[in-house]
Amino acid sequence: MLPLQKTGVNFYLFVAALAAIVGWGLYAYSTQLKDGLATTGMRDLVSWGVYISNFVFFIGISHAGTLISAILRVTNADWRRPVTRMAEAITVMALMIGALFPIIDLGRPERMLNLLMYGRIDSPIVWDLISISTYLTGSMIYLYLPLIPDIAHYRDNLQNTSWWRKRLYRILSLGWKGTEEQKKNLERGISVMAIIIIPVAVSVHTVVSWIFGMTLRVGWRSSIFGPYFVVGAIFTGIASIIVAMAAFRKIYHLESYITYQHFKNLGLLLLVLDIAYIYFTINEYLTALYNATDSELHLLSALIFGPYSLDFWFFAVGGLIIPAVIIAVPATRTIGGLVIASILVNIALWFKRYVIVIPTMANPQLPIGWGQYAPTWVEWSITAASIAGFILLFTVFSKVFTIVSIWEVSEGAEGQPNAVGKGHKGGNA
Amino acid sequence: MSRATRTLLLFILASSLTLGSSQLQLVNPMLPMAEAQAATQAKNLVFLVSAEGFNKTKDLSITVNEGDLVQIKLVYDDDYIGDNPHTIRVQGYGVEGTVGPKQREVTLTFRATETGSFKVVCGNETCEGHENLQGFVIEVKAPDKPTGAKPEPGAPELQKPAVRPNLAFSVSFPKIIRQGYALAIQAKMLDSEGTPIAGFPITFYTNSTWGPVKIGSAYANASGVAVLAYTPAREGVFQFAARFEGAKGFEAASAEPVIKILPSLTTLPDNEPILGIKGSVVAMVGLVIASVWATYAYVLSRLFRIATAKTTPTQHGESGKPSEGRTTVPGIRAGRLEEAS
Repeated sequence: MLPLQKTGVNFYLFVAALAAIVGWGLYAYSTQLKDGLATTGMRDLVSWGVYISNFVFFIGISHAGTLISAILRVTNADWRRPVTRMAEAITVMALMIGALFPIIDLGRPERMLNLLMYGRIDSPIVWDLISISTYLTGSMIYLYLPLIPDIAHYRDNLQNTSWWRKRLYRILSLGWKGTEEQKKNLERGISVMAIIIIPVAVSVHTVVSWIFGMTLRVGWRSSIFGPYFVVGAIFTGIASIIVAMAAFRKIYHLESYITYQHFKNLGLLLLVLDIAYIYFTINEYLTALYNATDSELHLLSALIFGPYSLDFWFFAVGGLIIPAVIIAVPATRTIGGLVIASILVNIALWFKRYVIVIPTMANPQLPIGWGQYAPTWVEWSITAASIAGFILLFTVFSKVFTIVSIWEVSEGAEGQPNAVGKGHKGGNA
Repeated sequence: MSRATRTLLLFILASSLTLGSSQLQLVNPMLPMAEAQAATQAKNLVFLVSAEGFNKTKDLSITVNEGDLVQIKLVYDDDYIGDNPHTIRVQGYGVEGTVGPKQREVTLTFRATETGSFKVVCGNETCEGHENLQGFVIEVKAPDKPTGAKPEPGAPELQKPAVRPNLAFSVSFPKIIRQGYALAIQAKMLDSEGTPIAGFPITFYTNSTWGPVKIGSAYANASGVAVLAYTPAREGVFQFAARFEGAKGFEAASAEPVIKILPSLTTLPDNEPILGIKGSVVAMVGLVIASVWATYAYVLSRLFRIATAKTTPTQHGESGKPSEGRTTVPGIRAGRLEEAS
C-alpha cells in the first residue's frame, strides 16, 4: 500500500504534464465549440473523422476488463489475480473517455439530448447509447465489488492519512468487516457480475460495429463486422493490459506479484487473438476483392496502393505480422518484447480504425470526386488529450486504490478458496 | 398590391375551392393596357420522322423569328411492326415529345424567346435510325428592324413594344388528389381577349420544410395549357405555385393555389429496416436489456446487504474493530501484499 501513502515529486510532475495536455485539449474543444466543426477536417463527404476512430479504439480497449477479469474469473484461471484490478480499471476509464467522442463529434453537443428525446429504436446509434451506458454501469459495479475488501483494508490499516481518504474509504467500504454474511453476498455479487458482464461487453462492440455494418456503404456493409470488431477489441484490450502491467510493475516495484508468467500467458492470448484477427481481415478483404465491383475495387485500391496505403500496411505488418512473430519466437518473447508487441498492436489498431472510417466516407456513393480529409490541430489536440486523460485517470486511480487486488492475491498465495471462496485451489501468483 | 396581400387573397380564394373544381385564376391587374401587341407570328410546321431522318434527310434547317410561336408537328413515317419510338427534343428549350408506331403524331410547341441555333434531335439512343435524327437545326433570329429615314435630331423616340396585357393564369387539379397517386397539374395562360398564349415554359413549385421546391416544368401547348405529371409523396395541405417568368412582350404571371392531398387508399411500401416483426423484436430486445438491468439491481441489493450486515466475528477471528482490522480482508495473511504494494 506504499503508493497510497507516499507520493514523490515525479508523480506530481507526471500528473502536471498529463493535466497540461488535457488542458490543451479542452482549449482545442472550446475552439471547436466556438467556431464549429469547420475547425476540424470533416466536411460534407467525410463527416466522420478521427473522433469516431478514437471512439471505436477506446471502446475496444475497454474489453480488457471483460476478458482478463470476467472470463478468467469464471474459468477459475488462478494467474489472473494480480491483473484483474488493472483490467477492470482500464475498462471503466476507457469507456468514460470513449463515450465522450460521439458527443465531441457533434458540432452542437447539446443535441445529444435529441437522441434521448426523439431517438428512434430503429437506429443503431440508439442501440449504441443503450449498450454503452449498460456496459459502463456494469463495469463500474464490477470494478467496485472486488474493491470493497481492499477499501476496508485501507480504512483499517492506513496510518497518518488525509481526512478525505479516511472519509472516502469509510463510505466506500460499506462497513465491511469480513463477516460470513458479507463474504457470501460479495461472492454472489462478483459471480453474477462476472457472468453478466461478458455478453454485455460482447454486445457493446457488436453494436458499435453495426453503426457501420447496418449502412449500405462500400467497405462497411459486412456481416462479419460484429465478431471482427469484438475480436479486435479483445486484441487491443489484452495489449493495453500488458502495457499497463509493465508500467505499474516497473513504477511500483510489483515484480514479486506480476511475474514473467503473467506476461507470457497474456502474450499467448494476444497471439491467439492476433491470428484470429488476421483470419477475419483476410475474410473481409478477400470477399470484397473477389466480388470486385467497381466501388469495392476503388476502395481497395485506395487502401492497398492509394492514399491510405501507408496506414493500411502499417496496420497489417506492424500490428499483425510483427507482433505475431515477436510473440511466437521464444527468443523475443520476453517482457520487453511483449511490451513492444503490445504497443505496436495498439498503435496499429488505431490506424485500422482510421482506415475503416475515413476511406469509406471519402469514397463517394455518387459519380463525384473523392472526399478529402486531414485531421486539424483541433482534432489531434483532442485526441492527445483523450489519451492523456485516460492515463491521468489511471494514475490517479492507482494513488487512491491499490492497482493489485490485495485480497485476491493473498487468497491465491495461501491456496485458499478463490473468488471469495468457492472451493478451488490456486496460488501460483 | 403587395405580394403578401396577393398571397393572402389567393389563400382565401383557394380555401373556398372544393376538391371537385380546384381551379384558380389570377389576372395580372398591375399591367397597363398596351397600345399594341407584340408582332409575332405562329409557325406551324410539319415534319416526317423516320429512320432515314427528318423528312428523310440527315440535315435540315429552318429559320424563325424571335418571339414566334413555333409549333412543330411530327408525323411518324416508318412501317415497323415492333416498337421503335423516337423521343424528339428541342435542345435549349427543353420541349420534347415521342413519336413511334404506337403514337404516330406529336406536336412540340414553344415560343422562340432566345436567338441562336437550336438542334432538334432524337434522345432515344437505342432507336433505329437514331444517328440520322441528329441534324435538324432551328435558327432563331432577331426580327428585321424597319428600314427608312433616320429620325431627325430632337424627334421623340419610337415607342418600345408593349407588353401583352391582362394575362389570365389558371391552375387546375383533378377532383381527388391522393398521396402516392400520379396526377396531372394543368396551368393555362390566356390574354385579355381570351386568346391562348402558347409556347412558353411554366414552372411548378410546392412548399417544403426548406421553402419552395421546384417539382417540374412544361411548355404551354397551342391551347395555352402546360401539363405536368406529379405524384404527391405526402398527405396534407400544401401550397402549390405555377409561374410564368415572363418574356419579351409578356409580363410574368403566377397562381398559387392551396391544395389538400388526401391519404393514400392503400398501404404504401414500407421501407422500415425491420418489416412486420418490428414490435416483437423491440419487445425481445427490451426484455434482454431489462434483464441485464434487473441483474444489476440484484447485485446492488447484495451491496445493500453487505452494508447492513451484522458485524459478527468470522472464521478468521476478527473482532470487527477497524483498528485491528488486517483480517477484514478475506483470506489475507498479515500484511503479505502490502509490504510490496
